[in-house]
Amino acid sequence: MNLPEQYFLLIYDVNSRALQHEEFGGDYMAAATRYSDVEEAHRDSEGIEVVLVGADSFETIKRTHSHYFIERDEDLFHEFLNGATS
Amino acid sequence: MMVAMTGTPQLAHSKERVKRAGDRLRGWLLNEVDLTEVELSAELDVIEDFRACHAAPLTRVGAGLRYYVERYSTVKPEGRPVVAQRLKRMRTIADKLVREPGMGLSRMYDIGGCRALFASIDEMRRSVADLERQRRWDIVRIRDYVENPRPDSGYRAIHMIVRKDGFLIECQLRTVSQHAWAELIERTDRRTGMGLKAARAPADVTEYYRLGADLLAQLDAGDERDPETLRRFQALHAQVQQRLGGKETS
Repeated sequence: MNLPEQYFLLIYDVNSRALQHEEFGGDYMAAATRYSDVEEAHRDSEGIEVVLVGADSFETIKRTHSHYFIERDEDLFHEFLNGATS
Repeated sequence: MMVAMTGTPQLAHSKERVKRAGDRLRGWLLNEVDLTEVELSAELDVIEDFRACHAAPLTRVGAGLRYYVERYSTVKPEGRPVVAQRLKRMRTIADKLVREPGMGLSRMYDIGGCRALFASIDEMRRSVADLERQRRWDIVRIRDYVENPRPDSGYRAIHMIVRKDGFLIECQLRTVSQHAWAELIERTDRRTGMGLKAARAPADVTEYYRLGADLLAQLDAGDERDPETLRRFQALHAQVQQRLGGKETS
């Protein structure tokens, strides 16, 4: 079953690693307008990343844009390092 | 931007005007063109309008991709395939204009981008073949970074550029491990500022992650790990962790 698209504006503070998000349901026009406004407000702040994403749910965004949610993939290379000195 | 009754976005400006806005922003960023605050603001408005026009076609491509991918991808954490979209950040549009001087803004193909995840290369390839058969799926170009990984970074994925309502949208198809690797690179770049994505990182760090990508690809392909690749990867591990400040344990 396919759910309708939902839009989320992610506002990520690189230094504090804090993520805020705003939800727009399926109203991509409202989301795109807000995107431009928030981006403009942060135009000179290097440490703030603003991005408009869409998916069937916020859970999906956590997978597809995981770098805004998870600090690191502890185990990605784990099995290549067995027996290695580090 | 104006939206006609059909819901199809219409650019408030010509493609030529969009290209000129991109060229002028690039020139301003490179200190080659003088713009007043008002002039800069006008160019940015044109670019934002062009970006906003991608929202509707991006939504349609994203929904289409989810529909087609559903049949092939077994990555369904909530019973549905993992497909999402994003509209490119103004800052990364600007970065790309500077990085690629020959790129006209009106031809930039990844302002609207989708992403879909697969459990295996086989699932991904079968889905690509299926998409290629769809008459309503207007593929402009496919870049196969699985067959031909990016030589510098080792990045792997299949990128498919499609045309919708006159706008170009990029679809990135990745296996779960290719995606985990790409996200790791995003995080490492953001934390260290090394520029792995832009191929600006120190050679040993670049090689470490490239070898890591090679090893993950061998797992994806069901191959044995190549002993030489593994040896070089392990040999680089300690010095790279030290360079990264010991914060990254993987």
